[in-house]
Amino acid sequence: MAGKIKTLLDQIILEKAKGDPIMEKLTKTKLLVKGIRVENFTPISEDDPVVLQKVQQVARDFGVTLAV
Amino acid sequence: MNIKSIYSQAQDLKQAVAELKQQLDPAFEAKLLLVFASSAYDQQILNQQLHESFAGTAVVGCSTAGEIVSGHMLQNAIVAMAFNNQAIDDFEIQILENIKTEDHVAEAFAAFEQHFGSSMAEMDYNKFVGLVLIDGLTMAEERLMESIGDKTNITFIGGSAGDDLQFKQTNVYANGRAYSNAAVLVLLKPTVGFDFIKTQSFCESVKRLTPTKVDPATRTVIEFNGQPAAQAYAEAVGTEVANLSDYFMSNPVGLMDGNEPFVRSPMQVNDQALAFYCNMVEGMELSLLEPMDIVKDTEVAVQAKLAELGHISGIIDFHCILRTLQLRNEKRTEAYGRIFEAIPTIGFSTYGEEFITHVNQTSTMLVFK
Repeated sequence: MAGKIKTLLDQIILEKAKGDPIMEKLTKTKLLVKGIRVENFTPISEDDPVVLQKVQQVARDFGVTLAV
Repeated sequence: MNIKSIYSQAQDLKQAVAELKQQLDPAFEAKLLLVFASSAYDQQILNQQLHESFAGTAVVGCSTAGEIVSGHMLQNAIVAMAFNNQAIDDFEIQILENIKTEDHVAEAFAAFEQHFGSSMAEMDYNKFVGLVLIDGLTMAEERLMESIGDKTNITFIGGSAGDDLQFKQTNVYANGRAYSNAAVLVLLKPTVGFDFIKTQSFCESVKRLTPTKVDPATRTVIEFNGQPAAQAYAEAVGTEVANLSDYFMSNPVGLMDGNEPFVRSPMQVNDQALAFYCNMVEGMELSLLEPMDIVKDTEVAVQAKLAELGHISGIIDFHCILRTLQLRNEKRTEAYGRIFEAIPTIGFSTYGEEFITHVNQTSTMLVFK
């Protein structure tokens, strides 16, 4: 399977920033300092379970409920 | 003028506080006083004196490793910035204690929400800004800043308190007391607009170092790129491990966010590992950084912000002690101070800077329009 990480990251950014480009950038920076470089993930990125778990933890930290 | 910077170099504490008071016209009606003071002053007595002398004004601040005021970089001094009603509409102060082991950000945020009647998650980041002052010897900065960033989009900017390079005790100030193992958060609702400057006077090299084994508790990188960290860093800078300390100040590593580095500075070689002043996450790609001119780079950053905003009524500069040491070595502290000559400014030499996260060898500045 592929693309799940990008889908989850897109959800987190949408939920946190609500379309505000300044907040989108800020959220990406917060993800970066947690060790997740958003640009590295595309729809064909492998669903690495370690990264998936990390992204799900970040969502919980941010108080974001993921739909997937 | 609704934001005023004042200072004293008097070594007698009573005299120093009296000199601060004399520089503020009673008609100014200071609402909030932000104080940065050398650890040479007795910290508890200083806070009591400030509390008594500035009755009716909220006083917050911290101890330093050097002070900055419009036009000057100082040592063994007190600098302060006074805000009146026309500068700050409202504010709320919260003290977080036992930060080495406990996270009280949620309680502090609940108090902010009660005071301002708005959720921290929804609060308008254009109208509110946070100050964060942290005991600089707790190694708690990363956790604290992450907890803050998880819960709000409001920017919290600040620094880690210093103690004039003694590394014995640093303090944060609030409510007439000096606290250690603590942080002070101040949520401000400025009447005037505000913005930020983050400048670190480094540029990215082509060399990459990825921590592959870390010990977060001690901010130590055990391995870079699967090699012993000291050896990998030595190869990147082009020297032997024995000479590494000569390169720590000039060649830290940076987590690149576009062209913007979040600097992590090496502190010492521990066996074959490298201890830093800031934590890193395994797998986080870092760039070796090359130095730029601190004075020139900072001047460009401040002038660019002035041109963008049209007017600056005040700057709070959280300035890394490593930058200060470099400026002292180069005998350029007065040149750095002159950058802020025409702007009400205070700042201090920190044991770490805060902006989104904990960083090193950086100046993070809160700029008021």
